Amino acid sequence: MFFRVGKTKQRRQKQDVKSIETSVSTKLAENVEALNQRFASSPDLIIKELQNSSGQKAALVYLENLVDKTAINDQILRPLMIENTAFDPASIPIHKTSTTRAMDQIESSIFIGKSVLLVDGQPWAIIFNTQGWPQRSIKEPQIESTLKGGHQGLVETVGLNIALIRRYLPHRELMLTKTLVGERSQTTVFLLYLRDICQPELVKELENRIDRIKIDALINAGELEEYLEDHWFTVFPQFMQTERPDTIVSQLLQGRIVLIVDNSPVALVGPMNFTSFFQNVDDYSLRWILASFLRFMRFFAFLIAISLPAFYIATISFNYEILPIDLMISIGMSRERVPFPPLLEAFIMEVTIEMIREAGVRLPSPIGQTIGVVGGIVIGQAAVQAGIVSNVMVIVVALTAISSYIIPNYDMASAIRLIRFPLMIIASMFGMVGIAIGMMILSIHIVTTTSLGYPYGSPIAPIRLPDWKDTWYRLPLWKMDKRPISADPRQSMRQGHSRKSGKN
Amino acid sequence: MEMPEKGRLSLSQFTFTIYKTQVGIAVLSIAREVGQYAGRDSWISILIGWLITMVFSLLIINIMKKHPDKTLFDILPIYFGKWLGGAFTLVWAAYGLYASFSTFYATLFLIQVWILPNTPTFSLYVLFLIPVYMLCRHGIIAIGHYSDFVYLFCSWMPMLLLFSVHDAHWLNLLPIAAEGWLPIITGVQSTLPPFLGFEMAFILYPYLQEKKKATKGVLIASTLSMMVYLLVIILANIIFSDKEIQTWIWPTLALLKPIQFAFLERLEILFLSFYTIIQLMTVIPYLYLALRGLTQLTRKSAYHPLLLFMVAAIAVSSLFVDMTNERIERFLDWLSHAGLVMAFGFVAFLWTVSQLRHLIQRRRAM
Repeated sequence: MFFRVGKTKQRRQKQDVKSIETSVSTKLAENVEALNQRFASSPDLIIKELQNSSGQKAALVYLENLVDKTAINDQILRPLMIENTAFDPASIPIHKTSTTRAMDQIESSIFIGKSVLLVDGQPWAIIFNTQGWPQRSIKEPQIESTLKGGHQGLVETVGLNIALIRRYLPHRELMLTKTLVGERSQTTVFLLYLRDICQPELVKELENRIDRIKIDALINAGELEEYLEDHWFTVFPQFMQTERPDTIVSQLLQGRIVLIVDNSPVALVGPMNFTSFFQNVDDYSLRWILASFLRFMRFFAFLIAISLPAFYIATISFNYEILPIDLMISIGMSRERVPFPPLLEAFIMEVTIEMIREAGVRLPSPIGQTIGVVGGIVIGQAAVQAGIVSNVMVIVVALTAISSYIIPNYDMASAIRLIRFPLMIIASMFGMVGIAIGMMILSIHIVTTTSLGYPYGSPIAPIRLPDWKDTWYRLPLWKMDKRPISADPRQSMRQGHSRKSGKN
Repeated sequence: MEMPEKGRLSLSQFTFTIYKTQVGIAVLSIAREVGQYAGRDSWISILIGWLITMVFSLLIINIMKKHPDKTLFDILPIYFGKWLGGAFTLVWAAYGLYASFSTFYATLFLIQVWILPNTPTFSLYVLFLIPVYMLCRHGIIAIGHYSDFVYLFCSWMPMLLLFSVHDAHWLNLLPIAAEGWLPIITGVQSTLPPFLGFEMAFILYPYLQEKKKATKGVLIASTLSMMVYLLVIILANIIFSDKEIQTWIWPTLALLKPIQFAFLERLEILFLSFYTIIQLMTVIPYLYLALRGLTQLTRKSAYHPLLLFMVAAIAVSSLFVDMTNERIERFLDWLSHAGLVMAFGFVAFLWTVSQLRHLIQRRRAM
């Protein structure tokens, strides 16, 4: 509703502008007047009047903070004002120039940082690509840091991001399609895919979905995800958000599509499946045996993170007979002074640790550490001594928290942290049976979810054995001659049949 | 909501769906049921039962081969005309409903007796119906995908039984056919109902990606089930005497009970909790079969309302039907009889009809 109002208002404004002027007039003063009106005499709009030796007048128009001032001074003003070059696109040393007659195009060009030269007596204007805006230097991504991979992360400028990716893939099959999303923001969204690997229907589907988006402004890539995904009612990410160009490239090579949004240092990768969130770039530069061990550990950690508190609750409150008597006694002793039922005890601790985590996220790291110490050690220890929670509960909570941080992808780790709460409730109501049915519900949910129409549970369900080489474990790279079939690549071979070792 | 039936089933999905439909509640009691006729030679009976099942599964594939993209419910009207075909469809739907309802009741009863005696029946029913509804809603392709998952994640369960081997008396098996072959042959009839589920091929076949592999699929499915049953029967016979087996209602659980680990006692509680997943995988395909038949008689969009109605019916029925062991036994008994009639009798009948029809058509063509 809100959006609709915005849209009609905008249309009305546009019509007002249109009634003023649509094409460039031959009189410079009229053009300058029209531009002033369009920009409502904004203080950052610079209109620099010039005159060359033959007395011809011109005006250079740009927005002060969006242009590269060195380029304006040296490449445009210097030739025109000092060297008396003609007002002609061919003679000005700027790498990309164009001419236009439409006022609307002039306006939109100025808005994205180009500068426009209006020449008196000419019914066209020259547009120079002089964009230059405040820009962050390339840094290592914070939530996806690696030990051995590249340390460059995406930045907020789409062109630079594409450059980062092209450095990895200087190949003509890397396709880029540009679309604009957002009525007001006119945000550039680039669709990247490898034409000979990616399924064309998939590209078309994604393009259609992007075309259907009608929003005011697109600020972050994460917002785009919600407009593109298949299922809204799920905790699992259906696209991967990544800041790493090397991750992007490896996903491109598997036949996936990457979306890069201007102003956002995060790229979206899709279609994804559940298990690919357990992979990490570092896996491929470690010894394969070690990497396989890490993979196993991650899946194990996943199970612990979702179900350990639930198992604790189930065994304490329902099925205590499954524990051997010695173990039962030691757990019972530690719970002796605890006045709460196990569910409440677990909830108190789990919620506390979530709060500690959330509190630490946005604090600068020295304070964050303090929070960790205060929260983890002081509260944990004090709570046990005060008899509010049991020692075993603290161990359970600590194990779950650690396990959830082993999952390499941030979105997946958050999803997993959330799943354990419903499982805890169901375990407190039905014990072990509740956990089994809860797991069944969870797995049915994963199996029936799709990402861009592709099964999310692949390669586990549906079983795709060839993909297991890079799922539960990681085999040596020379074993993986074919691309994974989960993303349905058109070209299946990714390398020639390789030898076991580099020796001849 | 329409059934989203896009996509195809792979061989593994086809096989495991049939296998998971076959293996269910019967695993827990098969040693006793076959044992009461065949005694210590039950394992021979199960092998014979397996051979018979394979013959009948091949008959199904033989029928379906003539109509590669039709389900059973599409074929029935072709063979028997609108009214009689419709009647048969209704009978099949009723059979599917009965099978799913009674296995659901039996599963719930078992859980209540063994693990959760104090939990209200209704809430337990609601809990178990959530996954049934979730999976049925997405149709046969999702069921196939999920069977893959269940196979992978429940394959440790039969292995767990092997921990009970350490106090085994292999000599228990030895005098083979000591009492002649008659008890073994009479035992065969009670080995057939556990193999019920191969009739799912009627529904799965049109969705199979490579039709040529259907034969392989049904044979593997029955063989997998046979191996599970054989394992359970042999283990029960080498650990208990054949008299002792009769004293247990669920001999398989009795096998699990003595297994202990340093961190785990009463293993069968954990086992049984997770075994419900396998048991529900019998309920779900049968419910789908029934709904598929009913939608054939009405219209396609009726699927979702019918599913909701059935799920609600099961939940509400828990308030009125009081489950006792005798009643459950009787339900399962009727199911065995119905299964023998539908999956064995009807398949033979349908196969004869289809062969005759084929012959007549060929003669006409000549």
